[in-house]
Amino acid sequence: MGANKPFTSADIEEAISWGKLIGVNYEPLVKLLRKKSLTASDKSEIRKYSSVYAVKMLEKAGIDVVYDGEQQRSEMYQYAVNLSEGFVFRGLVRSFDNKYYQKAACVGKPRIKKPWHTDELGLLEGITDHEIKIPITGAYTIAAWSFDEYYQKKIKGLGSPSALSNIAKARRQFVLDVARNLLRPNIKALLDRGATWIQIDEPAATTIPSEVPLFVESFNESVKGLKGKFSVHICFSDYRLLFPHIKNLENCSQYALEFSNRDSKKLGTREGDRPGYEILKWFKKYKVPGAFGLGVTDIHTDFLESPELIRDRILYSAKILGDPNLINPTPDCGLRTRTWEVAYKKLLNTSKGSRLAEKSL
Amino acid sequence: MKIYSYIHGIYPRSSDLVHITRDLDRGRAKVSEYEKTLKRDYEKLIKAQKNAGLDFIESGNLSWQDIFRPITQSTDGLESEVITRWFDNNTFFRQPRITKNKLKFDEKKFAKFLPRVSGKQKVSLPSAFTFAKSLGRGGWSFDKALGEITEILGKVYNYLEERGVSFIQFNEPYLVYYEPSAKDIEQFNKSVRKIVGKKNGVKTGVQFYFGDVSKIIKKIDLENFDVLGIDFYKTNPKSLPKISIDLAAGIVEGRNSLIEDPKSLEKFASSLISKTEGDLYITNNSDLELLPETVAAKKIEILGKVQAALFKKSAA
Repeated sequence: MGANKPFTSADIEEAISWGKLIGVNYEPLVKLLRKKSLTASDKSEIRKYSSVYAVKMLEKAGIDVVYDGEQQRSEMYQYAVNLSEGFVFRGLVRSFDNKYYQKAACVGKPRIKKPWHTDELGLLEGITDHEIKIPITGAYTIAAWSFDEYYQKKIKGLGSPSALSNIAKARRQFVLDVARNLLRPNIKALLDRGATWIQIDEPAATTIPSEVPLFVESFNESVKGLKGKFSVHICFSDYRLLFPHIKNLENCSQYALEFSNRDSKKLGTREGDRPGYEILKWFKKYKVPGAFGLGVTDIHTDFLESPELIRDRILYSAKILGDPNLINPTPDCGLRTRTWEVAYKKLLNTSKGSRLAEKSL
Repeated sequence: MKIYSYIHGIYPRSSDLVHITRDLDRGRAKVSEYEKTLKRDYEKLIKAQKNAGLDFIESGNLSWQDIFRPITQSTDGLESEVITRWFDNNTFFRQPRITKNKLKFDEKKFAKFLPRVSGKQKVSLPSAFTFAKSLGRGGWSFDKALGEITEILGKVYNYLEERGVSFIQFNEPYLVYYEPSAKDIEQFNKSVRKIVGKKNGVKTGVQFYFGDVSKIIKKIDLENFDVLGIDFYKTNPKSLPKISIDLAAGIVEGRNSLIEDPKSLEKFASSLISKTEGDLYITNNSDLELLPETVAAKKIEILGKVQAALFKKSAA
């Protein structure tokens, strides 16, 4: 169903069948979906249902700590930048294959326009009794994913050593301004609203190896002195580049990382059976404190990991870390590129695999 | 000395083309609608290059999902799999993987990725060295993998030559982004020599980008090429010796939307004239696909303006 087109009978059937499966009172939603024309208030209500369905889907799949899969956000970067001053969108840029994102240019000093996620938190609190984890796009990623038409505007001397040095300084200023003027006020607003766990999403953290210390600095600047549980999510990266700098992350209690994308699809827990999880040995070697959001399902394919495969991934990781309590199984990353059917099955098998692992431990 | 201009690499898709590829993936659009939109994008890009007065015309590789995919999909024994970051960019490619002992290239399949362009057509390809370094090799040694990929790229090169393409460019970021060993450079040189062999009139270039070429330039066998392309956002011209072949100056930035001032670029490009014994080309430093299409279109105009100003200056 496209924007401003009526919902089809297939859409309504889908709302009913999912509603039945996950235990949502879908009647009011279906009544809305059947309307010939929708008011702004109707559309807002339908959007809220999208969060209800997402949270209930996670609960039905047996997931312990929930959120709504960012239903109220257009996309992790675009949504945050839309609510910030100092940015102008320039157009679509490819992520991979036919997946694109709207990329903005920083044209002025970044400032918060309005808190990004406090309304969303309020909505989620009304939907679930489960623990809620709110993700927020991190400062380094926002800066790294933006063009820079402000901080680099006055740099001259193409290719010269002074130009390269000035570009590095400009980038640092950009990132830290985002941390101080966008992330910190947003995190504070969420904590004031009652958030207990905030995950800072930093998929760009290792993009430029020499800037990993800058990512660490920006994380610390974002959460300095604030009281809450903070975690960091970094995906599709060369995690070796995080070391040793990641030891300097302050106030970070969990690392939510992606592993399935690079792991074998075969069962096994012997040494070498799980190539995707070998990087955990680096965390052990460098004595990085904290738990792991352990990515156990690949979000880029429809391949359905069996509960046994997920069990083996958990057990292998527990062996490396020496403490199964450090492991919280999750998908590698967000499931937005999958259908609901595939996403639900992957989540269901994640909880089934976790239960199998618990029995073995 | 002559001054030329061109663009290279993958060009970004228009928002219409982006939306229809998404719809195609989701089963909401027909292949015929996609092909119609793709053709419109090709025509728009070719017109933009010609209007800007560029000397060699690229088709923009608009149907390419990444720099390796058309070759992977045209070669029995190669598959695309793991999503991997493209150097230090927020864009990803699917890592090619060797799945058979012997690779077999199919030119008919490859032809579908490269529409013909009227006028002097230029084509950008990955260099065999960067290709082999980016592979998931399984049990293969790098030497063996490079050998196989060199052979495949040799077939691609010969096919394009027979087709009448005027200029073939190899894109080589790996050697300048990382710290190459002497053996790496030797392997690169050997691989290119094998591909290029006896050139039959097709101009051949290499574009180094994402790194400083001055670190390796003295070891690159420039006899394999007619044109040496340099990313001047990463290379200080003062660190370069005089180049014995044509120089392609990457002076329009493919990774930032900041629109360059043509006068500043003209001044910079003028200063490069003494750096080469051959002709000067002006171009983008790296693929324009990391920009939105509307911004990339402005950068084509900038190239045209800079070339026109340089030409006027040299004629005066």
